[in-house]
Amino acid sequence: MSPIHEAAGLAAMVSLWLLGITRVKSMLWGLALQGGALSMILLIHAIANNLAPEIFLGMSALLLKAVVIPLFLNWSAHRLKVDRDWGVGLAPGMAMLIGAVVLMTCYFQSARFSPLSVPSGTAGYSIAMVLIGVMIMITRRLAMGILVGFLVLDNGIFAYSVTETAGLPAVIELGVMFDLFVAVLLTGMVLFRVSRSFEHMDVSKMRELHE
Amino acid sequence: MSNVLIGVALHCLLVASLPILLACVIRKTKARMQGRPGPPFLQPALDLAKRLKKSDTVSETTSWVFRANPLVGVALTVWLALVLPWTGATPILRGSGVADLILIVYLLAAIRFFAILAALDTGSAFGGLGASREAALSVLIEPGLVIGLAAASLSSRTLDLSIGLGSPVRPTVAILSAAAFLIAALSELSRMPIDDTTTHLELTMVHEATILEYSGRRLALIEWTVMIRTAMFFGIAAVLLVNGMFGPDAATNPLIIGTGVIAAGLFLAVFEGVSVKLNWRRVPSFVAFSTALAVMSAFVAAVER
Amino acid sequence: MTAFIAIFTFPLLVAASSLLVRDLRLIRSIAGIGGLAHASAAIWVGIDVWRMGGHGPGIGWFSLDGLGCWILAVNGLVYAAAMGNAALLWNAPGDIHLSERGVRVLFGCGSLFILAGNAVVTASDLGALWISMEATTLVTAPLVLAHGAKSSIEAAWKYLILCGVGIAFALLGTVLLLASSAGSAPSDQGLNIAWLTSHAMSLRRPLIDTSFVFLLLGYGTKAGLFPVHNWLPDAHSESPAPASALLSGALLNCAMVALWRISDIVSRTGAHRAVTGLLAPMGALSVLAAGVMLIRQRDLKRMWAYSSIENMGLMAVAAGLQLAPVFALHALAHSLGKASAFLLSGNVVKQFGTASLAKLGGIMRRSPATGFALLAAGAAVMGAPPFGSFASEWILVSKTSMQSQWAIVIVVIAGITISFVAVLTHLGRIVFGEKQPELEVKVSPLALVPSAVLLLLSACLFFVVSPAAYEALDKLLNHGGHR
Repeated sequence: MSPIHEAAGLAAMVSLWLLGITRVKSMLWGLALQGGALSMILLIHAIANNLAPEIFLGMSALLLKAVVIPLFLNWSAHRLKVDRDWGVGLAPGMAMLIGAVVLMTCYFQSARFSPLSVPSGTAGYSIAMVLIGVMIMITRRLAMGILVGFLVLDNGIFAYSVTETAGLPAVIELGVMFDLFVAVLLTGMVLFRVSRSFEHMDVSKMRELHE
Repeated sequence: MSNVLIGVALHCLLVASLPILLACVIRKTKARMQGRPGPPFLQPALDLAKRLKKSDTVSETTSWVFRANPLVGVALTVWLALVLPWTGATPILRGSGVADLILIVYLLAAIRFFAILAALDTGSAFGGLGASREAALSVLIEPGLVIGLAAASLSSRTLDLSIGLGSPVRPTVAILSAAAFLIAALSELSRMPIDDTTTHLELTMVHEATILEYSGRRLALIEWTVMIRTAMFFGIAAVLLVNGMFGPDAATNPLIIGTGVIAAGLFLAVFEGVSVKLNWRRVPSFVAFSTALAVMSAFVAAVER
Repeated sequence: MTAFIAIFTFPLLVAASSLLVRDLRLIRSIAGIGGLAHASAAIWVGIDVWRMGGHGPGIGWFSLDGLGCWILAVNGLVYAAAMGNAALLWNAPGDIHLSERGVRVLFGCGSLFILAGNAVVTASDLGALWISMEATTLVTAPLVLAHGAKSSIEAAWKYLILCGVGIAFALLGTVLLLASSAGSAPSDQGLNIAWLTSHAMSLRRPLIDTSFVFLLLGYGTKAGLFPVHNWLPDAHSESPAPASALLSGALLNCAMVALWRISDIVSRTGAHRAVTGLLAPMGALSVLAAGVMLIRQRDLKRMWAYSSIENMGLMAVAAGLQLAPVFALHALAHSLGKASAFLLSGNVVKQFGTASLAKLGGIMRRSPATGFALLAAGAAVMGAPPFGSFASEWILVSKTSMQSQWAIVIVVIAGITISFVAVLTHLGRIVFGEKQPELEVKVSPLALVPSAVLLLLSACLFFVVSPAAYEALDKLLNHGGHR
């Protein structure tokens, strides 16, 4: 098995783990690990083919996805005194079991998502990450957990673009990452406002706007 | 032939000695973790010897089930310890099929079944409470145990664990399976995040509640059973990990596995020193980790063979 | 080329001034003039492109085509009106509804938004289009947040997360589209709209279908189409009125342009049924659902927001049936009407201190001009005769019937009728009703000018539309450019 395959598998399993845990700090560690694994895929590919822009892209992905965003969220979690997210509706354990089924189904259906219709597995891992990201967003109660789910979803798309296509052009991919970064900063800012005026971070209790 | 005989003899010797040694290590380390000097190193063994000499008190309202339970437990546990390859040495009847995965799981379930029956037999409120919790736990941990062990022995294409656990396995599978197995084992052994055997608070007791009525000789038998099971589960986890990391040769070396078991005991003692018991309602989520890890392990083992 | 640079320069100048200039009054004048200058630049560019038969200048991933410059001009008008209205309305710092920082945010982020919006409509590459679209979400979130009330924070959170997820799905769709062209496209051309349109038949089929579903879901969220519209009423009602006008009159157009470009490519791959079978029914359902939800509205701005969903539904039907001129006409008509409606609501809120339909009443008596303008805006939005939207809706329904899409025709007509009745009932109550609002602040009559100009333009549009004009528009949109 190639290291690319291993890294994609690791990232997919990490998203499964994120689905099952409740401690926000651990979720951020997992997010960093996942971002690191995905950036390594890009770097391995770029260094093997000696593509300078891709190497730069991989380095910035590593910096952003594995270091800056998790650190920023960790700092916010600390400031906002967010510790655990017990989830809403589905218990995290059950969610994880369902996530495991999703992951396996996607893996065995890889050929459907892959551009050349080859069952490479990585396509399945990426789509599974997207779906598990959505599951995290649905099963979390706190705004921070939902944000982590969104980032997992985004990592899934990133994984798909680096493993299944020739890759978006480097400039476009950089633009995408920059947008993502600003989105996280902005959402963090909104989170501070949320915690200041609602005095809680429980999204399921936001009831200001209704018909 | 003589090699096999020596191996079997070594296995039996380890079955007899390693569990008690492990109990001593855990007790001493836990005391140190709590900042106490603790009892003498061999105290658990001495306790056991003293209790075996004492007679026991049995309630008049109980039936033969209550009295038979410790004997059933010891018999089944010792049998399991003898046939399972958990010490690195050669287990008895290796390769004959007695260590079949399904059979093993059902024998483990039988031990729990009798424990539950005996707890109900006493008619005390604690017995019923402990029994119901024990039953709930056993349902939760079974998938993790079965799938995790099956995944690890997948490449040997046999369910006989005495052969299966020695078959070559990928590191990822080994780590996932061992993790799944350890989490399941923590619940099976009533260890820390699930249950705290050192407290007798009715809100939290699981295992203690089921053996509350025992005393003397029978209590000693039950305690010995728990020691053997602890060592056995840690041994299997160690075999799984060593096999995946360093290959089957290292996994059949009693010295390495023995060290591994003791190391696992140390780790457990430290872990119990720093962790807190889970809210009972959160336990299913925790045990679900075991199942998910086992499923993932089976998945990796199946797709990357 | 100069004009192309000009359309990006003016909003940038306004944004920079809102950040750097200390005097708020100076910022207001700069914004008003900048808006007008930008609108004229956009129209100038449009005429240029028209003359060149739909081909326009371009830089890198951005270039102009017929549809692009049309929407550019529409957005330019909305921007000019919004900036003009904001300049005339917020004549005192420390306003009761908006802090000084809020005013700066309104001018600054509004201008940055129009910059991103221009990038969306001129993008000639789906990747660049996605980035610009995400940028529009990011710069408009502070607009929703500008009031700083609890409800606006909740609306901003909802907006960021729902649109974030939507737009992430659109990215997945974009990547899947890139994957479907893998192998056949030259490098860096895999997402080029012109390349994709001309080589549509060489794209791989099953992936195209999946990709279209994700793109539809993604950009559909941004456009506020029915099952994924939840963020829209909150965001539109919580932002200050000029910002609402921008969101409704310009941002939704941008999302619809993205949907148009996607469906144009996909319908050429032979997956024509996916477009007519998904996009058009989704649009028709939005019209009906918005109509039903309009019945029980209690807030003036929320009412306009739901009517935006209805109008986006109509545009989605046009896009699904590939009726380019109708699409463009309705975009213009809706933007003119809706921008003026939101700006007028801003005046009403400023004047009477509330947007609640239950508390408002008797506007006609208190300030006849505002009342009359509100009624006219309602008519312009709902497609009543002397306004452009009547023409575009009429053409849409007749063209749809000509394609024998009877189910869609029936649903659309039902939706339009219900919302027409609902909006006019609500409006009639607050304009002619007995109830007297408690608070009243004097608002300069000049603040009505931008909305009045938009309504006049809409009325002109009604008289301009003719078969010949339709043909000319068709020619502009269907030749050259990205094709």
